Amino acid sequence: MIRDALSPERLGKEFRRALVIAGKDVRIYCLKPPVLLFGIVFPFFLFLSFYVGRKGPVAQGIPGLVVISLFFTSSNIAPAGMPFERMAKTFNRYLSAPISLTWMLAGKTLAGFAFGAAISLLPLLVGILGYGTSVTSPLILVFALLAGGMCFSCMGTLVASMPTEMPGNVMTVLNFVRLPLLFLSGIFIPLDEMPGWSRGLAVISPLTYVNDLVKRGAGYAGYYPLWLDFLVLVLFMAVFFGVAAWIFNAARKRS
Amino acid sequence: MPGSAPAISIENLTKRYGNLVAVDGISFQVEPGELFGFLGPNGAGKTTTVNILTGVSFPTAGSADIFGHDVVKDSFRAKELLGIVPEVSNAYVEYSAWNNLMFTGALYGVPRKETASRAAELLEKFDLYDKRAVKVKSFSQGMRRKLVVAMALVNEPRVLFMDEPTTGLDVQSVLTIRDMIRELNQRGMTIFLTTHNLAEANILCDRVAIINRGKIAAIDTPENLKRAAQSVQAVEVAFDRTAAAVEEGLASLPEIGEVRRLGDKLRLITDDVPGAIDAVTRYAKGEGLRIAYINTPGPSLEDVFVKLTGIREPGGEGGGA
Repeated sequence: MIRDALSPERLGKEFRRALVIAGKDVRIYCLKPPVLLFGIVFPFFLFLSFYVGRKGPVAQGIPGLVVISLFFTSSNIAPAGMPFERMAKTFNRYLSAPISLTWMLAGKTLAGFAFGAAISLLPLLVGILGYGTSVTSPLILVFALLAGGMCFSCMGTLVASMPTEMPGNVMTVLNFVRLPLLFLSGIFIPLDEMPGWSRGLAVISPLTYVNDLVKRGAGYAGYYPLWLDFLVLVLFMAVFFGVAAWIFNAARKRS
Repeated sequence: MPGSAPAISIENLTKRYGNLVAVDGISFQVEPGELFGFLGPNGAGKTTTVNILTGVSFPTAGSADIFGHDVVKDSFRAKELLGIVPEVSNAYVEYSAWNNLMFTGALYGVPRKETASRAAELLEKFDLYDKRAVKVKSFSQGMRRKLVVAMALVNEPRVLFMDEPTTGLDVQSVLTIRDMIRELNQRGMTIFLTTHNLAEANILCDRVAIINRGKIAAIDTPENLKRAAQSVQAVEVAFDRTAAAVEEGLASLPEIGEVRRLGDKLRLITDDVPGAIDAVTRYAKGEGLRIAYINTPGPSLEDVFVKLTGIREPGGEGGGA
């Protein structure tokens, strides 16, 4: 059975079906009010309210806006969609379909990633075209968006493992987690200007490493070594996704 | 071996929720091409069993196979063979009927062209083709039910699970779905039908299993089950007028054990048919009632159900279309 599960034919089928789920989720959930409100409107005004007070050049703030957009949109699709799916019992469709739970969750996670990566390009393009934001290391920037989008989306999948049918409950928990991470990440106050205790706490925020990478891509100096940023993001991704899969599986055993 | 295996094979299947045993070591097989009814009162373990068979839930103990593929260890292969009509019509309401079918086809790995041709055929069959581009959120309950049945068929499954497929539908839709069930079964599809509607099980199923408190109480053809329940005898009677007082009056007669209303008729359960007929005739004369109809039918599937479970099903033989 394990050999069958790892055969190229089986992996190909599972991957294609995960993409089918991702495509459906993007089409259905990207226009849901919680996604638009907490994924796009809220982070934009949050950034604006903080940045206006700083009076720096707009171009300098663009990398931060890109990271915030990526963070809020990528982590939003699964938490907004899954409670609806539990309520409408459409979630059971995945469980009874020929796709493993892990690949089904991968599909859900890919939806958040794709949506977040696409939305985060908007402030980046506005910055490049309108305010002269420079991209000195495009490769680092692309990988930062890919790794960051996946990591934040995995975080969203983890929060969506809460066994509730109320999107509001999940969104409350999600924002309870997201806001402190945002303030600890070095977006509003650079890491080297932070007091020692908050710099210590910044290491537990995945946002810190994505912000570090995006800034590096836009020509600013990084705080951590490049390899460390990527390594920590991969570890966060693995932990978020692994714990989410474990919780979903445990819930299925109890059901 | 999957090639010559039964369509469904269940061995000592058990599901516990803490101290509650929802399914208690049940075992049975469903042969390929069989139309199998699964009956039981609410909370008997029907949905739990179906959830395990369709991969929604895991068993606590025991095993279940679909054409030789274990539903836990080899669930991917097992689920490729299934179509499911759940109790709740769970189509994606934000999607159109067409997109629901295309999505389901893709999720089951059906090539796009094939899905499109099957989707068109199924929507035509269920009278939904003209509404194919309309979002499901504006569909009536009957339209959603038909769409969910179509979604279950888009991958041409070898085993079709149907949980209360006709509940809440108008007469025309019920008849359409029943005809379709017969047609699919005649084409060789194995159908596992969970229903409260005993009349439906009686007219559709090759065999039925009755589950009660997590255990299989009986499993056989409807006719054999009725024969086995010959001790249940009844007199059916209709008067020129019926009222609650008549039911109460008949129930108080010593020759009659129980009175059940079946539309305009009353079904009187008795151990002594001639004595019950005499008593009913005397009662009618005394109350000034005219007997419009009287019959002594054999036991129905409902009688078997009541005898085995001790529970009356409100939507029983008299229910449904």
